[in-house]
Amino acid sequence: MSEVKLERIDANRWLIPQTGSMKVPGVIYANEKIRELLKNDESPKQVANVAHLPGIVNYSLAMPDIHWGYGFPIGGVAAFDMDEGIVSPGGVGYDINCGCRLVATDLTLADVKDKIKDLTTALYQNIPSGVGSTGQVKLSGKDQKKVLEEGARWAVKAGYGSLEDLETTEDGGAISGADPELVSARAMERGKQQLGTLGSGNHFLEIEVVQEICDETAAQAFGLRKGQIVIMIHSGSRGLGYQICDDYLALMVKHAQETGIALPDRQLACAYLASPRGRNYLAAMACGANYAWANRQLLMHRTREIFEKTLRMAPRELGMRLVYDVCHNIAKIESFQIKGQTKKLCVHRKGATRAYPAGHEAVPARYRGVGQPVLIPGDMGSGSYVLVGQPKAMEETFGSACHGAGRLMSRTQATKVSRGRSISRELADQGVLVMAGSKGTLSEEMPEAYKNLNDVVQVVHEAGIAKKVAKLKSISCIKG
Amino acid sequence: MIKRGAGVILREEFINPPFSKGEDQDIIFALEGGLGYALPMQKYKVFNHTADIGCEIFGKTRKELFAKSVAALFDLMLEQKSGKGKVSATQSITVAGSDLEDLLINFLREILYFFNGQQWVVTNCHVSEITRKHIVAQLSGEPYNPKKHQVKIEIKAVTYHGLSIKKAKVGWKARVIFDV
Repeated sequence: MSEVKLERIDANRWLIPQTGSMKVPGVIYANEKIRELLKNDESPKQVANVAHLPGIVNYSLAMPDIHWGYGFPIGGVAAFDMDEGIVSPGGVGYDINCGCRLVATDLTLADVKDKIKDLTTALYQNIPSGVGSTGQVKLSGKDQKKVLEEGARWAVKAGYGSLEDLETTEDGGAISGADPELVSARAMERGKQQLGTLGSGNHFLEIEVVQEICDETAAQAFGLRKGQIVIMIHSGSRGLGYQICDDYLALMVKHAQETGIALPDRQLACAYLASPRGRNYLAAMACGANYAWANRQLLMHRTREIFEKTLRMAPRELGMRLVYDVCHNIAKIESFQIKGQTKKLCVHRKGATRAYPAGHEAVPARYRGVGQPVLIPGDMGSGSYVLVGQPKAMEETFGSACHGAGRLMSRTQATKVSRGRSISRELADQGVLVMAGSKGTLSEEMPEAYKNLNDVVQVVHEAGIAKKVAKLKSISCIKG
Repeated sequence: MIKRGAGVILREEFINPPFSKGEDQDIIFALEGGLGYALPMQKYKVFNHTADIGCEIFGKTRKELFAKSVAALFDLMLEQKSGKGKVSATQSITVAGSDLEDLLINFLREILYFFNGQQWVVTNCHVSEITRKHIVAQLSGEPYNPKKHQVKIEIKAVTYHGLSIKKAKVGWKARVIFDV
C-alpha cells in the first residue's frame, strides 16, 4: 500500500500535501479509476520524493500514465529554477529522448488490406530490432560526432529524408549545446553500431489506421482523416543514451556529498544546473537526444523505402510525410510564466510529452493555429491517440501531457498471466498482425499489462491539458 | 592467499562445487570445457516491479553475494543452450564504491558493460578480494553468440532505486532493480 496521502482536488487531479522536507506539494493527474490503481503502487511516493529536490518550481507532477519507475516516477514532470535548481539524469531516464514519430500516408485501409502480411514481413526483415541488433549505417568517428551534434539534421543531410521532415520534428530534430567531447568512449562505442535500429522491450513500429476523428480542425491541420493508413514509430537513443545516463549518474552519486543535497533515493542523484557537472550532463544528454532523433529519422526513411518497394508505388503515390516527432524522456530549458514573470526552467519529462498550445513559437508554423501534436502510443491491441496541446498545459503542467497507457502489471506478472496463451493469436483475432523477436517480449507487452489507454487519455482531455484529435487502431506491429 | 596464474582459478576459492552433469537445474552457467567451473548458482528470486525487474540475491558471504549477483544478471538476460562455449578470455577487474551498496552497483555496471558494450558473456566470476569499498574479481567468458545465448530481456542498466544489502540470518541478502 502506498503510504502517501492523496487529497482530491477535482475529478482529474489529486494533491500530495507538502510534508516533511518536501519543497513543494505533488499533483497527480488521475480520475477515480486510475487513483484506485495507485493504491498498490509506489509511484505516489516517488512523486513526493522528487518534491524534495532543490529549486523545484510549483509542484512535483505526474501524468495519468504514472507508474513505478526508478527514482522519478514514469509519467513524472518536474521543473527546476536555473539558479537554484538541479538536473537529474534519473529524471530523464536511461533511454534519453525515447519518443514517437507519426508518419501519414495517402493510403487507405482498402489499399493495403491484402498486403499487410507482405508489408509487415518486409518491415520485420529489414528494420533491425531486438537486443544487440546493429544498423545498416556504419558510422565513422567523425560522422558519429556530427550525429550527436546535429541529430535528424545530419540524417537529412546524409540523404535519409527531406528538410520538410525537420519542420515537424520537436526542436527541429536537434537540441543545441550538444558536446560529443563530454560523451564517454563507452557510449560512443555502443552508439556506433546501433543507428537505425528499433531496439527491444516496448519499442515498436506499427501500421495503424485512423479509426475516429475527434477534432476535425486539428485533424485537418495534421493531415489526418478517417480510414487513412499511418505509421507510428517508438524508439530512442539505444545503448548510447543508456550509457550516457549511467556514466553521469555514477558521477553524480560519487560526488553527492559535494552538493549537500539530502536524497530520499540515490537514483535521484543530481547536480546543480549552474554547476559544471550539471552543465556537462545537459551537453552530453543533448548528444543522446540528437542521436535518438537521427535514429527515428533513419527508421522512418527505411520504412518509406520498404513501403515503396513492397507496394511498388512511387513516393508521390504513397504521400508519406512526417506528422510529428515528440520526445518523452528529456530535460529541456524552456520558458514559462511563473508568478507573472517569464522564467527559464529546466523541465524534466520522464515519460511525459510536450504539449504546447496554439500560438506557441515552438509549434511548427503549419500547426501553430491549432497547437502541437501530442502522440500517445497505446498497447499493441488498443492502438494510439493523437492529441493537441492546450493553453492549460502551460499554466499547470509546464506544457506537458501523458506519454502512453502506462504499465499496470510487472513484466513477471504479465508473463505469468499469459502462460498457456498465444498472445500473437489473440492479437490476430483483434485484427493486429504481430511479428516479434521473442515470445517473451509479446507476453511482457501484452495489452492487459497496460492501463486502459482510453482512461488515461480521457483524464488529460478532461483536465484540459491536451485535447483528443484522432484515435488510431493498430493493424500490424513489429517488435524486438 | 590466492594463487593465480594464466587465468586459472583455484578450486578451493569456489564456495560451490564445480559444475558436473546432473546439477544443471541449479547451475546457470555451465561451462563445458575451459575452466570447468561454474558461477556459484541458485538462490536468487525476482520480485515484482511495475516497469523494471527487481531481484533478490542471497549469498553466504559477501564474496558469494557479489558472484551470485553476476550470475543472476546473466540468468535474467540470457537463455543458454547447452553446448560448448569457447572460453575466449579471462580477466581480472577491480571496482571501487563509496560503500557496499554503491560497490555492488558499480560492480554490476562493469559486468553489464562487458555484455552490452563488448558482446561478451561472463560465464565465470570469482571474487578474490572484497572490502566495503573495493572488489577484485576474476571473470572468464565467451563472445556472445545468438545461436547459443538466446536473449530473454534487454537490461539497460543497474539502478540505485530500492537498493539494499542486508545481513540475513545466514549470510547476506541484496535487493537490486534492473532497468529493462
